Amino acid sequence: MSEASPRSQPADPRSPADATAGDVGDGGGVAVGPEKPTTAPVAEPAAARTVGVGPYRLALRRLRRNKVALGFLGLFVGLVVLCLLAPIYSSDVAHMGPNAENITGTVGGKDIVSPDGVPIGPTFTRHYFFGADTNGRDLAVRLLYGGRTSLEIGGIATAVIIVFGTLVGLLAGYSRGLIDAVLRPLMELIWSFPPVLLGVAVGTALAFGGLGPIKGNSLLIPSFIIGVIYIPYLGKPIRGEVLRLREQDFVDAARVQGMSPWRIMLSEVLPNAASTIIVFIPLMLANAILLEAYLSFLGAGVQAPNASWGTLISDGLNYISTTPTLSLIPGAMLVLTVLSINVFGDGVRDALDPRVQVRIKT
Amino acid sequence: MSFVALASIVAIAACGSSSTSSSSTTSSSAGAKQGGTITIASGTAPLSADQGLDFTTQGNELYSVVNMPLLTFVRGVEGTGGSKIIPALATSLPTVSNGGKTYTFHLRSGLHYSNGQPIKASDVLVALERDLKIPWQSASFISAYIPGAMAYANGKAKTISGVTTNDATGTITVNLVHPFAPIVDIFALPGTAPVPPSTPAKNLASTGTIGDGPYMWSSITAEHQYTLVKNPKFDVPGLPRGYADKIVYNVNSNVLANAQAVLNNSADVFDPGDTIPASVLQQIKSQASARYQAQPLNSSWYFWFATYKKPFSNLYARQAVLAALDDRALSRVDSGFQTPDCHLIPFGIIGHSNPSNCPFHNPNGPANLTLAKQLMAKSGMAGTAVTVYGEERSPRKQYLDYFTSVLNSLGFKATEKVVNSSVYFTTIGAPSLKPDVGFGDWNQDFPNPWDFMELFAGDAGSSLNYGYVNDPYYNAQLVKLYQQTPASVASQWAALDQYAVNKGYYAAFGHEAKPKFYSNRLSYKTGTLSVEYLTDVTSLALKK
Repeated sequence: MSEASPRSQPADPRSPADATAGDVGDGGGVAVGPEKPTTAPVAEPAAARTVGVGPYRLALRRLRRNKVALGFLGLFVGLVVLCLLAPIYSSDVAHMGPNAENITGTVGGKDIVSPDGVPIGPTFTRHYFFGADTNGRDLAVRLLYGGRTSLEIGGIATAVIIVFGTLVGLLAGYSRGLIDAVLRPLMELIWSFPPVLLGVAVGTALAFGGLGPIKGNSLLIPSFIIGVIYIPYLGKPIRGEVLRLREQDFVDAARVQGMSPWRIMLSEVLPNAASTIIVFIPLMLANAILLEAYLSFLGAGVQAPNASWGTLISDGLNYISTTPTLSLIPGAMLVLTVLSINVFGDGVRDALDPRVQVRIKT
Repeated sequence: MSFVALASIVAIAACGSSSTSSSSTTSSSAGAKQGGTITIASGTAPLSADQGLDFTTQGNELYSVVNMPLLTFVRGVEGTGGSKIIPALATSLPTVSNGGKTYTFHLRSGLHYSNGQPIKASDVLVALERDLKIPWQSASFISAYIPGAMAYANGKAKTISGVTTNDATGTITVNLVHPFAPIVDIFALPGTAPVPPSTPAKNLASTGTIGDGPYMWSSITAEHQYTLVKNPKFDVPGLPRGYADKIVYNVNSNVLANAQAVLNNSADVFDPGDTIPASVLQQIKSQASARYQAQPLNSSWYFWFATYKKPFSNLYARQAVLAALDDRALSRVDSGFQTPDCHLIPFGIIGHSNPSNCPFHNPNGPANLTLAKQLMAKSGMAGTAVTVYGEERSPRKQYLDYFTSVLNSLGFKATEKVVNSSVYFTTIGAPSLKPDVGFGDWNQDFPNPWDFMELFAGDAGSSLNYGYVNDPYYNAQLVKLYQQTPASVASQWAALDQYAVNKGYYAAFGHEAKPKFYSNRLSYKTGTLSVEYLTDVTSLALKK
């Protein structure tokens, strides 16, 4: 299954083409019209009214029928729940914190770290279930805490992308003129840098010096870096969408009614661009988690001794020949998480934009 | 002190009579081939290719064969015998007069730099002045002991008044503020090698300086690759000219990849400044035992404390940390290469103390957590935030994780700062940073306990004394002891080391053995792991 490019702009689900596909697919005989004017409702005769189903409800129906997407959503939710249970696993099962070290200790009669420095592999018992790292830390505990960290950063970064990407796209697309002349090149500038290189450069600098009151080892640093890097990935498509929407009749109607630009943007344009934003949420979450892993792997993301899946993969590399689980297990968790988000994201996109399905089918 | 006496002292010190670490062996040239290209795989780049700035083991491996000083440490000898000082550009070891305060060197005649320019006695003064201007990371070796050096460094004098030269006779006279036995060793360091007068007084990180040694720089891609080729103008009797035509020093921070490259014979030398990761060590021992050996060299690994500010201005806080360290754990993190000890002066250096004298815990036993907690409670420093500095290179980052964990277990609020290895020491030594606590290591520059104990001297400067330790008693003892030959005051050096351990000025945790690991292309017997130079580049030879 191909991953939708974050640079692609999903089509508006309420276009006439959508309506056709949606109507047939849902069998409800309900027309999902083009952009829905949210102002100036026109009174219709009661007899002519039909029972309407909103576009999002239709999308939800389509999504419910996509068992693969739902299966991967379940997998993702399962992974999230597992990571959220990290403190319970740590205190009640492993009896060891994520940064607690026991280099000279033993488990099951074996050295946790041998005198010549080789950490123990998986024991599949409550202690060191997935083995230990070089510093005698329980890999299973760090894996779960690392997952929390990765998801937390991914979540915050996605929120930053959604909020600021939407704001920037709305402002640039609706206002045009000077604001667009400033915001568009700014987005192009960030867009033109390879995300990993930009992240490493900024991450390394901020990890050392911090950012104002935020200390260098705070999770907010990589979260904001990733968020800022990906703002254009949402901001640009939103801007394009808003440029199109602002010329629509219902927006003109709102202007004629004397609504302020802000109100038009928030109450008229934004709701009509919402499907684009929704489609981008899982894509951005997956990309943010991946970029966090890259940055942490390269030492520019999560700072030691805190764990994330990226740092765990990096820490384990030196032991890939003797204790491959140190890198492989966090790598597998990362793959499963990103895969589940992407497949679910594809399902969301298909549900909101049935034309894609139509194209695939034909 | 007479010249003969001094020469004897140097020889005694060099031979390391109290050493328990290793005996001296001279390499064999049988089976060694002249010519060819040899590659060294290193995990860390020198700070600079310029011997007038750099003071890293990685840099010293390279520029020590480019920039030949008046004296040098004997090459081709492993173990403590490799610390013996012999004349290089000088005709002989210096004559000592004026009660040990004047050293006179005589330059050999007819010497030339690699560019054909003749070497003059005054070029030694040029080098010393350049060291102070750039400045050399060990500029205090000069500025603190030679009259007028500090004034020159501060721009208050046009030259170093304590050094006079005569180009006609080739005489170099070095006067000292007071007797200072290690000055002979210092004139065997590449930083004091003569340079042409036209050499700019700035860091030449990507070109190095014009040299006078058996090799010269061919090309440098700073922090990535350093290439040396034979210097056809080198002609100093009694000094090795090297076997290989070309030495390529490749830098890759992935030491595992470096070790595997040597194991697979795609690189020739694993840089002994790095630690072979445990994951590949067993494989090397089983598959390449004939070309691998771990040799104890004189090095000490430690954590330092900023003793002038909270929380480590508090004696009990420092002692609590010493009690809470488990040296065995740190050794395991280092693939077992560490010999646990709380003292700074290593086994092969006069003045070394027995590890059983460690006051806060037995280095070969577990940490004394009961004592640590008592001391911590006395200190009242629980809850204090500290930033712990360390390098990213394995196993240093793992040390950092361990040490931070220990501090947090004691009740500090410790956070880590991981710094790129190639700039770590310049970062923590920057006067503007004034870090709280961090990792340090020191490899022998010369066989004198002063070389180690100077790290915590009040006048050592921030580039060595990262914690700004400034104890009047410690400083006074150093001044008193460095005027004597090490052997004559061995017990006093040991006592000073013990004093500093009791005071918790450093938390030393061991002395590291270094790996001598070559590809099967090289003649293993010819190659030398030098106590002074680590990889002795002149000894590296392809098999016949």
